[in-house]
Parts: sequence; C-alpha cells; structure tokens
Amino acid sequence: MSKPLIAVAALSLAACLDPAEDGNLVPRTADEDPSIPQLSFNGSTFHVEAFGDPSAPVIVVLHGGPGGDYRGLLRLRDPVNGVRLEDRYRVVFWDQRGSGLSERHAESQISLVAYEQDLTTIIDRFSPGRPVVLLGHSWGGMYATRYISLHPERVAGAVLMEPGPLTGALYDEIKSQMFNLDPIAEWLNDYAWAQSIVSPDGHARADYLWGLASFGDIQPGFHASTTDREPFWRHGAVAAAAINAEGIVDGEPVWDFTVGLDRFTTPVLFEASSDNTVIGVEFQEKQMPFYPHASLAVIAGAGHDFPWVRPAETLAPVFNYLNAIGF
Amino acid sequence: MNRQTIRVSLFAALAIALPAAAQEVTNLPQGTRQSVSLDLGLQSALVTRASYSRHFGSGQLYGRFTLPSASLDFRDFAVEFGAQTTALASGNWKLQVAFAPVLRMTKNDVFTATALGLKGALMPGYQGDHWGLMLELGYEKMLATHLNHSSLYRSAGYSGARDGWYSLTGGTLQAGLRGGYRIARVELSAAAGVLASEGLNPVTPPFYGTLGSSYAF
Repeated sequence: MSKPLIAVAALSLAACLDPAEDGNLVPRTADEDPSIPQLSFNGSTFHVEAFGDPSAPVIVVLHGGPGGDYRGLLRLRDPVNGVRLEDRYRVVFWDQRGSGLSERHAESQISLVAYEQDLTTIIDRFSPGRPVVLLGHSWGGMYATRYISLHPERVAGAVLMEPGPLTGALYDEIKSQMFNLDPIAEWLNDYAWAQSIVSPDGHARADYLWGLASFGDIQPGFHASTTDREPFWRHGAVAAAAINAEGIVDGEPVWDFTVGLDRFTTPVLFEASSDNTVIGVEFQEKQMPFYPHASLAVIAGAGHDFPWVRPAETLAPVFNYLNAIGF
Repeated sequence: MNRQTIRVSLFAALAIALPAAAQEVTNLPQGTRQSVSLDLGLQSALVTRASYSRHFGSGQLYGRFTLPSASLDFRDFAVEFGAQTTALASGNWKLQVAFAPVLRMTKNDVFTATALGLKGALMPGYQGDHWGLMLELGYEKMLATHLNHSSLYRSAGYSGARDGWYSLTGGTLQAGLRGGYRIARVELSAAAGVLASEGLNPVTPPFYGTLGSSYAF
C-alpha cells in the first residue's frame, strides 16, 4: 500500500469515534462527569441521590441486577393519594459499585464483601446511628437479605420486591426457567451476532452489549412490559460477572443469604407480581419462611418490572407496611 | 524484495497451476476450476453460509455470504471476498493462509451497524485426496463500523448515544479443527472450535461448530 493511502486510512480511522470512550456508546460515569450527583467512599465514586428531609427516617433503595441501576425504580418517587415516600422519609437511591453511573472497576475489586461495606457506608452517611429500611428489587432484595443476615441491628425493616433466589438451592429449582437460552432465540442470535461487530472488551463495550441483551426476551417468564420498558442508564457487565462468579462456583450455586435471618424479628414485606411465572407469587411464598415474620403483597397485572409499570400499586402496600412497623 | 516483487509473487502464488488445494479440506479433483459450498451451524449465531470459489492452482479467490438463520432477518449478514493459498507444502501436509476483507451488517434493538473489517486465517494440516484434517486459527478485526442507534436505546437506555463511524469496534479470535471427507466431486466437512474476543474475553457462545458440503467442478 502506498504511503498516501496509508496516511488516508490512518486519518480516516483517527477521525472515527472511539467505542471505548465513555459518552459515545454509553454514558460517562460519576467519576468522569462532575455533573452527576455523587459520593466518593471506599475507593470508589458512586452515583447517589437522596430525596426528602435529611432528618427524616431513611429508606435505602437497592436496585436489581447485579449490574443494573436505579433508573427503573424512580417511579417509586411518584405520589400515592397525593403523598410521596420522600414526603415522609429520606429516600436514598444509588447505583451499586461498578453499575449504572457509578465508577467502573476491575472484576477483582467487586465482591459481596465490598458490596456489604458500601451499604454500611451509605447507611452511616445518611442515617448515622439510626437503622434504616431497605427497599430492594430483584437482586436488590437478595442484597438486602444478605445484609440483614449479617447486620440485623442496622436495619429497621425491609421491603423485598420479588427478590431472586435467596439460596443456591432455590436457584437450582428454577434455573432452567430463568433464561431463554434456546439456540434459535432471536435475542440470543442478535446478541451473538452483534459481538462479532462490537467486542465485549473494556467496560464501555461490555456494558453496551449487556444493554442489548437486556432488551431481548432473555427472561420471558418474568413477563416484563415491552410497551412501557423499564429504563436503565448503563449496565455494569463486569460487576454482574463478578457477583455472579462469586455465587456460582464450578457451576454450582453456593450462596446462602439466609443464615442468621432468624435474628431479624421485625416484619418484612415481600412483594410479587401476578404475571411472573418464575420468581412470582409461588416462588416468593417459598422464600418468605426464611424470615420469622413476613407478609406478601401481590401486584396484579404486572411482571417483574412492577415498580416501573405499577408504581402506585407497588407503593400502597409499602406505605401500609411502614406505618405498621412504626417507621 | 521490493513492493513490485511482492505483488508479482503474490499474484504468481495465486495463479500458477499446481495440484489443487483449496478452501476445502481435501485435495480437489484434477481440473477443478470452481467450487460451491454450503455450511450450516453455530458461529456467532446460527448461520447458513454459502461460498463460491474460483481456483487458480494452489490458490483461490472466493466470495462468501453468511446469514444468521435462527429467525431469518435479512438485515443481519456478512459478506467476504478473499484469497487463499498454500503457503507451504510437503506432500499432503500443507499450510494454508487466507485473507479477506469482510462486511458485516446487523440491526438489533440497540443499533444498526455497517462494519468493515479484515479477516486472516492460518490452516496447517493434512490435506489428502480422500480426507483431510486442518487446524483453523483465525482473527477477524472490525476496522470501521457505522453505528446508528435506535429510538428504543435512546428512550430506555442512553439518549446521548453518538451515531457515526467508530474505529476498531471489535475483533474475534478463532481456534479449531476442520475435517473433511471426499466422495468424488463432493466433500463433506465438519468444523468445531472456540471463539473469544481479541481481548480474550468470552463471547456468547464461546464455541463454534459447522457442517458443510462442497461441490467441485
């Protein structure tokens, strides 16, 4: 190839956008963009927002995933009968380590222990010396349960919105229904083909591809809405891989987040969607006995994304629960 | 060796009539000038792949069309036009090398892409008249990709996603085995191996497997 041709090719490539640069395919994270509401602690910078009176009792929201973000839970700020959660409580939304708009890290820096420490720091920052209510959706419900099993004294109550399996044994029971891995599934082929064009190398591209997977019919039994899609900012592919790898060792699901839950005698509210055929009502009824005092509210006409598609129906039992435990 | 010499040598390697060695795993019948092949299998999705080759001695020029075929979507496909030749030979033991520009297209829930890349492969192994077995070592690199983001991604994902040409969006490494058996002018073949991103991260699925047949004429 002649030198002019090489120069033209090099200039053309140099003029192209960089797929690895945050802001192109996926948004920048809090450490890269000071306009994002943030807090830095435990060696990381987190996307954090808190709403409500700073002196009010604190609710800490835990999003799903692992590797999701809290954008799909923001309708929990909507009013019910004219009252919002943040009118009575200080509600803290945050993206977990390596997820959403929080800083990215290598897989080695993401672990269940780090997640435990991060949540402790959030509680200390927003509610020093005063227990909080944890409100967790999906993986967030698992995260909340693990935290309660380790630190029951830090928690005044919990709302578990269709949590995933709290033990590996329960995961074993439903794993064949969790994901649509049919080799002719359109989402899987779209995802696989896309990887031949955009490689999952580096956080930006891996998160971008994870976003593609999340739009697909990856969990048909969860019956999430396709007409009112639960939104996200940015998935955390490495965070998801790290937490999943800690839970599944040599193909065996090894986690048990229920050890010590008998020490937590405060009532806990479970919520489940009527349409989720995998981890819906029947499955949550199996999980509830891990807690000494648990009740269930069923959100009708929705799938796993009920906090997004049915926020009022989701929040009404939450208000009742918070009143009942005197929070 | 100057560039002119390299060009002439490359052309000669493709053009000089030697015992046929082609994309096929076995030796082609005497007098073969063309071949067509069809492969089905799993390689970055369930695919159907049709190829046409024009043989020139120890080399060939080929065109190949790949269509993901799990649920037919003609917005997803790949086209490559390449050259393959025998770089080294000792009897039926050969080292085949292949090189091809590649065009890949896709449309999915997040983006529409037009990707231009290059693909190279080394295939050392045994290539007999009736059967053959070769190692396949391949690398495909996307040099420039035009991405256009969907309204779904902008509304439910990232509204600021930038459309336009991106450089070096990806690369895929391939390592596997390809075997074949010839019955007259028809060769039946099978290939299987592993795939990884160029950063050695796993891709989905992390393996490939295809079955194919070709007809030489």
